[in-house]
Formats: sequence, C-alpha cells, structure tokens
Amino acid sequence: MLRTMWALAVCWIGVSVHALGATMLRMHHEEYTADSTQRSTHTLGIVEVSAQRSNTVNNTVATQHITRESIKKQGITDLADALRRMTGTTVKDYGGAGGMKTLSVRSMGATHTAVIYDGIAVTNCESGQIDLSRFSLDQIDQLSLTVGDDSNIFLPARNIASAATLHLSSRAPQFNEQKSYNLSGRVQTGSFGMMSPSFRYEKALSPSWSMRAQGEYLRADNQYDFTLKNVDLVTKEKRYNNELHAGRGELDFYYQPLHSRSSLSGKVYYYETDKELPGPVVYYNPISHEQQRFRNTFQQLSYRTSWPCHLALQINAKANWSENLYHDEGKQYKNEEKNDYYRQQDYYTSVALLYSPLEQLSFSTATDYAYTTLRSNAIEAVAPMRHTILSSLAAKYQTEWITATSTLLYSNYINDTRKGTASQNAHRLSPSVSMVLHHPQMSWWRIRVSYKDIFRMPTFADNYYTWLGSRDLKPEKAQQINLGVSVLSPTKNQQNHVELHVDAYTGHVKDKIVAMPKSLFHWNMVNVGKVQLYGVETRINTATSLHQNLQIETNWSYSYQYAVNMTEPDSRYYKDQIAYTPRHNVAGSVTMLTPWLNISVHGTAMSKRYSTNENMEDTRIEPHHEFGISAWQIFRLKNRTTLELRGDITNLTDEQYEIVRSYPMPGQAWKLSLYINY
Amino acid sequence: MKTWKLCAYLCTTAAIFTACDESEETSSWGQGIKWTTETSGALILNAGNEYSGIDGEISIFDYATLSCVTGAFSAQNGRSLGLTPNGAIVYGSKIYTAITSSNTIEIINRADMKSAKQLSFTNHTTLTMPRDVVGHDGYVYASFYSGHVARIDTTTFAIDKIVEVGVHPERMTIAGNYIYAPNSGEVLNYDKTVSKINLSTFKVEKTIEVALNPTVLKSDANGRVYALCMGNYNDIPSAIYRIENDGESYTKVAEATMFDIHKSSNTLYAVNAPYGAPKNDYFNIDLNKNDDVITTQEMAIEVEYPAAIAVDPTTQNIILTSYEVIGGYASYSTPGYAKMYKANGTQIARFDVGVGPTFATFFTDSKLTVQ
Repeated sequence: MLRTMWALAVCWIGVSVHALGATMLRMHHEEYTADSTQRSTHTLGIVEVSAQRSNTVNNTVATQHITRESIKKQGITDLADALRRMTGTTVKDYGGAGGMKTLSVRSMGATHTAVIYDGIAVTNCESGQIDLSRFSLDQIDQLSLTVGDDSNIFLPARNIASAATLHLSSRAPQFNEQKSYNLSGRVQTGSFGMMSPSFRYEKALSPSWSMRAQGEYLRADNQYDFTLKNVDLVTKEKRYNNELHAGRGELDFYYQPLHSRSSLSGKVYYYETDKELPGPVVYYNPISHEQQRFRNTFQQLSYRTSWPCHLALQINAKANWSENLYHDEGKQYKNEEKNDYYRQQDYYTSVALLYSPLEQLSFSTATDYAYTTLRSNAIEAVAPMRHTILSSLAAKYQTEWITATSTLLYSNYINDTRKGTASQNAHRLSPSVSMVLHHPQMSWWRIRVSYKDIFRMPTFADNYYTWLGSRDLKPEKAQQINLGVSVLSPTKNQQNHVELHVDAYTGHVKDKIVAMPKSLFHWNMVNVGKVQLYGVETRINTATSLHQNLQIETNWSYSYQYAVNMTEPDSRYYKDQIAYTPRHNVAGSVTMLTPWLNISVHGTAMSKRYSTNENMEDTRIEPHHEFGISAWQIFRLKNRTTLELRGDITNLTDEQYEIVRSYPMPGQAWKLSLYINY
Repeated sequence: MKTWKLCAYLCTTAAIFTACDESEETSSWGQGIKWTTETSGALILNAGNEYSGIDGEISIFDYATLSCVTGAFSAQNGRSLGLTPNGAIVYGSKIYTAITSSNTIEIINRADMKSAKQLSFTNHTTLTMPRDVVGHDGYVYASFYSGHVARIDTTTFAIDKIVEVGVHPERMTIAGNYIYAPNSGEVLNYDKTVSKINLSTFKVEKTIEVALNPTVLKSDANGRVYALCMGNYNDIPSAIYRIENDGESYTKVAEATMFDIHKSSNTLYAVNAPYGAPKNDYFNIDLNKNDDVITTQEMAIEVEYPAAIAVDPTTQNIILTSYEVIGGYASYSTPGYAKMYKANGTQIARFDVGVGPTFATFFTDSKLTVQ
C-alpha cells in the first residue's frame, strides 16, 4: 500500500513539475466559464446574473466541480467514482452497480450530506442518507460538492441546512438558429451482464418554451467473482443474488420569454429499481434471497423573477413520493417470507427574496416549509410526520478584494404522529460566515476562510424504528472551520495551466446519534457520540500542450482525515479513527488528448480503516488501490451528427478489496459505450 | 473403523454418565470400580458481531492454569468458525457448535480442536439456521430457526430424524425421556409455547403453553422444566417460569434475564439485568425447598454487563460472562471478559474472552478408577 502511495506521489510530483516547467502558464479552464455553475441552470433574470455567478476559485468555501467534459476527460465511470476523485469524500460502497453508495464529507457522516438535484433537495426521512447508486452520470451536466455555505446567497433555506452539499444539475437546453432540437442516445454494455440504453431529447417548442425528455434503463447480473480469504483458506466465490434492473424517466420544461425578467421550469421524475441484495459475505453460507424494490416519483417547479428595484424572487415547490419494499425468503420465517415496506411522502415549498441595493451589497431571505410522512411496518405503528420550517437571512458583500457572506438559519422541526407519542421537537439557530480574498491585479491567488455551525435532525428510523428508536433524541450538531488557498497560473490558456487548491479544516460532531445496546436483544438510539476532525485536502490540476496534436491533462487529489472518536476518555479505544474513514486518500488521473485517440489512466488509493469505531485487528480493512484506463474518440459524421466510442477498464490490476466490510468490490471489468448526438 | 467406532462408543458412554449424573459427583458401578466426574475447564462461545463482520470463536478456560485461550478453532483449522455461533455442547470427545448465520453445525475434536465434520444446511431441504445443541444417550439434538428439532447420530454425524416444532425454537433441555424446545416466535409476533418431544418416537407429544417469548429451558434434579420467557422487551418483563402438572400450567419463579441450574445440588442460579434497573440482581434459589414460597438468595457476584451465566455441573463453580463497558454502554463489537466464582461467591478468576460471549459450558468427564 505504502509503495502504491509513493508511486502515486512520485508520479504526481513528476507530472506536476513537468507541467509547471513546460507550460506557458496560462490559465483558463471550463470551470471558470461563467455559465458553468449549477446556479446558472435557472439563472436567467438580469439582476440575478450579477448576484449569482460564482465559480470554484471565487467561492468563499471549499468547492469542487466536475463537469460533463471533465467526467469524460478524467475517465470517470460512475458517480461514486467521480466522488472518490474529489477530496474529503468517503463513499461507502456496498459493491457493484446495485450496491448502495452513500457519501460522507469530511468524516461528518452521510446524514450530514444533502443531495440537491436540479436545485431542490432529495430527501430520505427514514434513514437520512441518500443512496447515490440511483443517479447515473448521463443525467448530470455538472456535479459540485460544497462544504459550508458558498458565495451564492439566493437559495432555498433547505439547501443550506446541511454541513456538506452535493449538487447534481442538468443544464437548460440550448439551441441555435439552425436547429430547434437536440437528440442524443447512448448504449452501454460491460462485464457482469451490464447493458444500458439511454436517450435525451430536447426541443424548442416556441421562442419561450422548451422541453427535455430523457430515459434510461439499466440491467446487470452483477455476479462478479471475488476471492474469499477465510483465515488461511482462500477460495474463489461469486456474488450471487445480485441482479439489478433500474429505469428512469424525466420530463423537464422551461419557460423563458424573451426580454422577460421571469422564468419558470419544472420537472416530472420517475425512478424504479428492482434488485436482488446479495447481503454480506458470510462464511459457509453464500445464499441470499433478499430483494429490494424502490420507486420514487416527484414533481418540482421553480419560478424566478426580478424587478428593476434590485429585487429578485424565486419560488420552488416539490411533491415527492417514494416506496421501498424489502422481501426476503427463508425457512426461518413463519410463512417462509418476510416483507417490509417504507412509504414516504414529502411536500415542500420555498420562497426566497434577494435584494441588491448596491453593486457590492446584497441581502436575501428564504422561508421553506416541508411536510413529511412515513408509513412502514418496520417502525412502530405511530405513523410519524414532521413539519419543517426553515428561515434564512443572509448578507453578501463583494468588492474587487473580497467576497464575504454571512448567513443565519433558523430551523424549526415539529414532530407529530397519527397515534402514539411523537419524538421531540427541535429549533435552532445556525450561523455561518465565509469570505474569500482576492487581488484585482494579482489574480493568481485566493485565500478563503469559512465557519459553519449546523446540525441534523434525528431521522424517523432514529426516532421510531421498532426497539431501536428513541423519541427523546436531540439533534446531532456539527461545526467546522475552513482555511483555504488557491494558486492559479496567472494567464488564460486552455492548453496550458496549472492550479493548486489546499484547504485545511477542523471541526467536531457532538451528540452524535448512535445505536447502543439497551439489553441483550434490545438496542437504542442515543446522543452520545463525539467526533473530533482535522483534515487537509489538496488538489492539483494541470494542462500541458506538448505538441499541437498532444495535450496532457492531469488531476490529483489527496485528503488527510484525522477523525477520532472522543466519546469516552476512559476507554482504551479513545481517539481511535472513526469507522470507515481512512487517514489517507489519493486519487489521480492523467489524460492524453490527441486527434486520433484520447486516453485517460486513473487511480484511487486508500489507507487502512476499520469497520468499527474501535480500531481492532478483527475489524481492520486493508488498504487498497484501484487503477483504470479509459479510451475514447469522437467521430464527426455528416449532418452535424457526432458519434463517440468509448471503452473503460476498471480495476485494471484485478485488486480484491472491500470498502464496506463483508461486501467485496468487483475485480477487473470492462465497459463499452457508444454515444450518438444529433 | 471398528476401533474408531468403539472409541466413539466409549466417549459417548462417558458422556452419558456426565449428562446423566444428576445427584452426586461420584457413583459406584460394581465392586471396586469407581466413576468420578471431573471438570477440566470451561468453553465460552463468542458469538462475534454480525453487523461489524466479526466472526464467532471459542474460548477455552483451563482449570489447572486458570488461563483462557481464544481462537483455538481458527488457529487449528486455518478457517473461521463462522458467523454467530449460538449454542455449543461438549459431548464425548467432541464439541458440537450451532452456528446460526453461517448455517452450519461444526463438530470439533476436543483433543486438538480440529474440525471432525462441518454439517452445512445451506442447501438442506428442510432445516436452516441451527440455534442450539444438546446431547443425550448417544445423540445430539439441534434446534433450527426453520422450526425444527433434528437428531444427529454421534457415530456417523448424520441427521437421522427431524421433527417440526413451533416458530424459532431456541435453547432446549432434556428431562426424562423428553426433549423440550421453547418456541420464541417472531419479532413483534412472539410465541408462547414449548414443544415436548418424545425421544423414543421423536414426535411432538404435547405443545405446552408458557409465558411470552420463551428462549431458554433448563431442567432440575427432579425432571421439572423451567422456562426463561423474555417478554416483549417492554412492559412484560423477562422471568423464569416452572412448567407444572405435566404442562397444564406454569408458575412464575422469579424475574430474571438469564439462568442455569446445578442439578446435583438442585440450585437455580440467575441474573436479572433488565434495562434501566439501577443495579443487576444475582441470586440463587434452592429448588428442593417448598415450591409454594420461592425464596431467593442474593449473591455477591457481579460483572459490568452480563452476557451469560453457567454453572459447572460438578464443582458448582459459576461463570459469568460480560461485555466490555465503554462510557456506560456495553460494547458489542469489542472483546468481553468472564469471571469464575465458587458456589459461595468467592472469585476464582477473571479472564478475557472474545467478542459477544453469549454462552458458556464445561469440559466434564467421567473417570474410571479401580480400587
């Protein structure tokens, strides 16, 4: 492991020095283009443009972006892979296309990560964690990860109610005068019986109306081989009962009248997955009959307008329904089967106002209301519901030298049940401040400082899960301070540039909600955990033009996470690294762009970690590394049609590893994709 | 093969005497021949932790050195015992372990801790998830979460008889010519029955009603059966009940969460450690005394977070196993410990065991001496 890290480090230094030496040190990157951030998706009003446009470097908090272009260039194969390439991320991956994937940022836990899909939060009131395996890269034009509140203050209050936010966004359709529609399709096939077609159709219906329809289907057997090491006994096994079927359909519309200050957009979404769950690997017992069916539909609307009096308004609304069904079969069940259901409903609305009296100064306020219910046979028969009222007040000051924001969020959670006792209500004020310093003449550096105090509410599972839930839980609090520096090559040239981002942070999580045994058979959720965090994150991106036909781009990231359990000073496990959090995380990619073929070689590596907060030999997970290679070429055909052929090999060295204990990851696999754009 | 069978026969006979030795430590059999029952050590079964992926292991405590070794099975076999072992017996020259999640019964040679046979139920047409094992008269009986009790021939290690019982049968006991299996039911749908199986016919002769959620059965010197009924972990407390009138009724003996019975002295040892209690109770009950009034005798024995209690059938030593307590809470993912006491409550030893020490039993042998 150490060898791999060294190799990566040496490689990283080598390439970086080379890039620095060889470049003309000119800067420009697609990240910096003004309309690349997700905010611009719906940003069409005149006032909003000045207020909202921001980019990675000018952001007041640590922000990372990956665009559709860089997904391709860095050889990123799926969303989990994209997140692993970022810094500060811990993706809990249960393996394979159907395996659950959740994101914890800077060791705060997955429940502190909000997922915003096209401007509005995706929620899971049952577990509080969003399974990211449902999102495919094809539906995303850009993903960005923000820790804390960034320089955009014109947002729904729910979007700033988490410690870290993952934005997944699509771009508003763009047309030109010759063409009033875009059509693209993709077919993909790969190892383990994977096959996936998808399409995207965009059409300008009138000068003001446009729409997009997209659909995707994925199937895979996922019966990958793995090596099972049982003390000294090494056997070749297969991941049985892992078949996956998933389908998604989305319909978006956009209303943007010419010369109007108002715009409206909406989305109708449906997703369904039917999958077998292989469960953890258990010695001598490879049989699992578990199945899961997840269905989700939502409709969302977003309206924006502005007035000449420096005032802008946005209204967002969403209605969400989801159902999770678990099915298991076995002779240990009374009727030889077990069925659990979880049905969640969410109604959400948000109104936000932005007032920009001066060019340097703007204020915003937002008020959100959400009503959430859960029905399940696995939680106590109380039929829980929750009213969430969030109000935010924010100010932003922006000059050539400084961008500073300050936000105050007031959260009020009111719990209720149809029958029985409801869990405790909670209300809390959460402040955050952030700023970035930049020099108008010396634009090659930025210094950013931020602070955020936030919490997460107990989920319905925490509160009501049979035997486990407790109603008197307090919210779990998180605090973080960040100090960051960005250094950029001072010129603007897409072919040759280098940039370096370093962020250091400290923080803690208090009143962490954890399951503790109450009796031999009976566990209970309690607020006892305390975690102390320190971390350093580094990213380096370079681009070098070696020849008019050869461009080399590299992306490197390194994260150091010291996240220790401070719960019990008397325990011999005091200050042990928290479960599933590696101290060191490295990722990198080297991309070679030529007119004939584009190739990207990429890798990620992780140091050892433990499946429990007690760092014992018994629960140790070995360090691992994984390399991949991607090659692609775009062919331009007649009638503006482009054809792109792409091949990926993941886990090139067929490394056997686990991210979640007893859930082996797939070995070497290939994927072939064909894209057609018309 | 013949010698092996003879050996097995001798071992089982020895074991029968161990198992049947109800009243006293020694008994005479013929002139000048003396059988002595002796305990050489204890076996602690560590269930591991399924959620954290920690496998089960056996700990062996040696009476001679008062020291304990954990991990002998994997060291000797180069493979793991499996996930969530729930019950074990030392029977003749073998140790039988029911490993629920791995769906196996591991039969281990006592002499070298090497596996003699691994019975897997993964592809079995009827049985799944073994829960407990008990031995009697040359056979080992196993309960299965599929709702069955099966008989294992200790010479061939094959299952030769299966009987259907209730839902989720747990820790069984033998009394007279019967084996009793407590049917605990399913989560939130607890059962309240005990299946009484005739060992000669291997048929359920009677289904006895007891209190809610029976999980452990034990029998006393007079062949009476006691059931630990765990209640609903809420308003119905966990308690020990005695089955009366051939199963027509049952009476509450005491509130407790775990217990064992020492047959020779006919004493019941119990721990009551319900959640929220300011302190746990450790007590014994003399079962020879009047049945109408139950008097409990407090004992000055204690561990931090009891996981199991077991009483040595010969020495009457008491083993209490415990989880490690970290910050006031039991830690289910770290190794626990055990304490051994004399019957009068004097501590003999404290030793480290594995993760989740939920069961303990003893290495008891009959020894032949010619006087």
